Amino acid sequence: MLDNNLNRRESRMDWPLWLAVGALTLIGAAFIHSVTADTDSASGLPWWRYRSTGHLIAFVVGLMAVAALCLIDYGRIARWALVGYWLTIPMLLGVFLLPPVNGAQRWVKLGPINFQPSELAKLTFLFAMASFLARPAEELRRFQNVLKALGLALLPCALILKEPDLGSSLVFMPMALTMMLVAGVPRKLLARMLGFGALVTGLVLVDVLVAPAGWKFIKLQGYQQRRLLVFFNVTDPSPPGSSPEQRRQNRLLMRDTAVNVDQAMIAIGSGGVVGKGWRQGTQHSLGFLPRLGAHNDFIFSVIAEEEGFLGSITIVFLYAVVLFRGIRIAGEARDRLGRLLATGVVTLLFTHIFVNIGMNIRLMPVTGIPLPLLSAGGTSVLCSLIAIGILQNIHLYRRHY
Amino acid sequence: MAGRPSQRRFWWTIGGFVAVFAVLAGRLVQLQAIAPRQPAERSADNTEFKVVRSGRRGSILDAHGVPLVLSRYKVTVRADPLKLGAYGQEMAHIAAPLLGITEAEFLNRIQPPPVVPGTNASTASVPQRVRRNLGVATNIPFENWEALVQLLQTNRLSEDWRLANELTNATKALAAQKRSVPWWDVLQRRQVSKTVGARLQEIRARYKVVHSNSVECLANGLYPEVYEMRVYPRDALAAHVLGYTTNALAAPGADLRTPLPVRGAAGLEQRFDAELQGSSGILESRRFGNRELVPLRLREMAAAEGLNVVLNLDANIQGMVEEALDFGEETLHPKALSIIIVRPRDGAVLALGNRPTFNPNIRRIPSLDALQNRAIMAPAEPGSTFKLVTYSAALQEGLYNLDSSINCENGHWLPPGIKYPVHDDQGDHQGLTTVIEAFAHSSNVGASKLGLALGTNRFRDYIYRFGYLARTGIECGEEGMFTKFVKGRPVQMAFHGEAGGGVVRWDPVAASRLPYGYGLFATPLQTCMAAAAIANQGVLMAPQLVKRLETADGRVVREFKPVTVRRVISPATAQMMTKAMRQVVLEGTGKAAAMDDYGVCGKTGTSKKVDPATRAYSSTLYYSSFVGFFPEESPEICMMINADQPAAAGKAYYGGKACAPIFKKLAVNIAAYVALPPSLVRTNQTAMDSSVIPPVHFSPGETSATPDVNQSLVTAQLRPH
Repeated sequence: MLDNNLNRRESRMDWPLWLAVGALTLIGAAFIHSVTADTDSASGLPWWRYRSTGHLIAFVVGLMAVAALCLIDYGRIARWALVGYWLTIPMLLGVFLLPPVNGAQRWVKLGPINFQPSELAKLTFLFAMASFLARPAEELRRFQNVLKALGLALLPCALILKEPDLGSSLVFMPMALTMMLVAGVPRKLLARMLGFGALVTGLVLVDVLVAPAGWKFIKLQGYQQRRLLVFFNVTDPSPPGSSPEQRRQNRLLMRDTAVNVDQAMIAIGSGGVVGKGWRQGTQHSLGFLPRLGAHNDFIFSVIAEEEGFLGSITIVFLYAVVLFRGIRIAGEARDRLGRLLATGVVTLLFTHIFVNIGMNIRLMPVTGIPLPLLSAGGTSVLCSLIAIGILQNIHLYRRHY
Repeated sequence: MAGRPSQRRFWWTIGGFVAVFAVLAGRLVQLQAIAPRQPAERSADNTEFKVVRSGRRGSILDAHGVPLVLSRYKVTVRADPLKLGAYGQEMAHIAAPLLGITEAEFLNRIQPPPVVPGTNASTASVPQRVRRNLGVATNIPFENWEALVQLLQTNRLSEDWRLANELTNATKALAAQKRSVPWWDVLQRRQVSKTVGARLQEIRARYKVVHSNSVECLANGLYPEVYEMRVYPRDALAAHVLGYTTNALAAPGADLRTPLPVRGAAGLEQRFDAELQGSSGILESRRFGNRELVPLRLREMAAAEGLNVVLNLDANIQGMVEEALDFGEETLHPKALSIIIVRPRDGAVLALGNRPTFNPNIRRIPSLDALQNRAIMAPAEPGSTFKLVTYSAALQEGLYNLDSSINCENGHWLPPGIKYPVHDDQGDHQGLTTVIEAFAHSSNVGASKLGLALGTNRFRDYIYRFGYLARTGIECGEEGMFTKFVKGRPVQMAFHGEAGGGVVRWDPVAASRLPYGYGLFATPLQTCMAAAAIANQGVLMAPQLVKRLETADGRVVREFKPVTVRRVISPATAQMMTKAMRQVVLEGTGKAAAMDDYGVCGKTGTSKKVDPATRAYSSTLYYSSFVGFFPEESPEICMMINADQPAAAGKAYYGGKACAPIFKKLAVNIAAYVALPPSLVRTNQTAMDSSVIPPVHFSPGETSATPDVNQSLVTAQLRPH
């Protein structure tokens, strides 16, 4: 892979990558249509304001952005990395000045577009981290530099966690770790960081799941805590000595939280091998999948229900194509920066894919994180495409011409 | 390029990705390819539902269409205290009037049951299992329940209303406050959102809880347990004929709103169970929340009501029979008492009753004694009524005629070759007399001589021809299980139509006893049908309770025609037997049955019972009976009355003393009811067709002026009692 010959006739476009991306986006639009068409037509929207159309529009806009991106060598873009990074941080802070939407402060309303700074932050962080780690590997042996890199990741991570948007903030740490791993941070340091992270995660879990009321140091949002509890099959989190009424309330809350996961599992399982057919799924159309989530966070359940195992494994296959092309691009990159950027993009996409599909099939607790290219949501599609555009950019400029 | 460690790391990363994708794919295989069935079913459960609708069971009607038993849907209303929550008071206010109870009663009944004594404070913290099926009211007509559901669906609880209003007001307040702040003052707007918005959030959260609770309370706080109740408008009337029902297990897919299936367990309810049963309907559909998605309905089948069974039995005659039974029970104090009335012409059973009996409206299990339909289920040695068979056979075979002389040996005779003598124990012991007189005075010696003259084979043939030792085929129960003592042990036997069934033994001693009704078991119904055969010119009919089956709207589904079993004796012999039976009432043992206006023919019977303690014939336990029909010329009513162990004073246990008076009492009432024209003085008239009951004029003047009546009165005065 690394010793590829210098074939002049080699394509400058990574066609498998773009075929997979196109297929995923179109599939996404089709199933967003399946979920939302009824509601959209019922609310009297014109066809061009349907959410499925919006998905395609975001795709086209994204492609144009990618084309623009490919005009400039990624090395030149990376020079502005820190500027972009430090411009994003105030945006993340600015979110807190705005009134909350659905109990969280994630969105910035710009005209008709609901813009999520956290999505932008993922990209600027990617560049900042890559350009920071692109220095010679010897410098990364210094603990100070590793700490700086970590700080680079922790700052947006913490801000996004505060929004609160657990899902998005979760992405930063895997990206940081994988990039550091590839950049050549000493294994001992990485192991320590991983160990420390595991310890913290363990402590957080213990605190959330089993600690008595007076010992809760981690103040998770109620729903976040319940989602974790659901994942660990806890049905009654009431502390001992609580009244029957409290117990009942708690059980009801837990049941309501568990319903989403449960119904997603039912949707996926009931799809069977070949599925119920496009627009034939009952789980979302009759409102068993969450109304607000069926077309974005739970789109995988919808596809799995309507197209069955064949559909869902196709999705997984297409993502695998994207990721492996990404890895290949990382391997072919002309310099450390390109390799790190590609690794970061791959990890970013991978984390999204794994956490989202994992939550749908109950390998992970529920966190609101979109499935790249499939989930409805303009910002998400745009950012995913830009991330893939970065891959294309690296592919394009893989040699010094 | 980077050195080898870097490359290794690169491959490790790839390996990690591959591993994670393998996990994802594996999980998908597990979920969708290996075990997709259970989620698939649960997905169907989400949306599909099935309602089993039961078809109402048919009614049983008497000959005139009077319902004797019918089905009503009733509801037991139950409460789920967890769902009622704090709204008990309000629910009581809404629901109590429709449930026919007071609010206080309602509140009292939804209190959780008291804590079991012995539980102390230390176990108080353990969550108790709460009973969620507290009975609130039962025996509620289904219509009332439906009205209540309607009321609950259209109601909204007051707290729900209050919070909804509060929420609306708070929302308005927030909007107003926001408007007062200029749009560019982000910080100020944020402040407003924080303060008012927090309050709004709080109210909304509270409203969400209260609203869902109150909706749940109204929808499911009270729930019905529907059951189908068999109602007997005339209480114990013909209880043994109608039988009773039990509940079967719930049909698959049925819930509490579907009544348990009712199945016949005895009597006509059991015999015609399949016909009475309604066919249950089914509704399979999809729902969205609690509402049915009608366009997506999968399958619907309407329930159908069961067929009605229309009887030959006449509720009015049956009522008279019940009265007579009560009277007999008061005067005779028997262990058991049965009356059967059939129409000889077609075997229609007009009434059938027993004592002890039970009231099927009272939902308590009566004693087995009361449940037994003795008229068809309790065979006993019939005694002298069986002489009908002996004399019919002898006359039919031409061995004797009514005026042949016969020596009754003054009531004591040792048949040749037998060690045990035959005794007369009733009436004045006769010497040389005629056959008709021997019959009228019920001479055992005479009957024995006739039977022995017939010979075992011929006699046995007649026993079977008269329908003894075989089931009559009546529809209201399993006939003739009887107990026979074999070597001192009771053995359950049944009539099965084969030689020996129902007979203790066929041997010379038995051959001398059988002619007067010992050594063989017969049910009252068998005796009654045998007598009816004589009344019907010698043709044995099958007893028939059911006239037809019809649908709920009166369309006849099946008509039951009279069933002729066989000709038993010739019409001439039947005439002779009728004459002999008339003589029983005129001169013999059955004088007490004589009516003023009608020629009654009958035969008394009194048999000694086997004392279970000594296993020998007792001299104190009797089984007395009277079987007879009237009017003589064209018998319209054949009636069998028998009392098991009458405890009357003196010699009143004899059939002629115990049962014949009841016969008379009943016959007079029935004759008046069916408006039989007095016949004693009109013997030359042709037999009337009773299917068309001739109009009877009850205008007083005309009645008193009718010479027939005067004539019959004169006759009555002349006849010795």
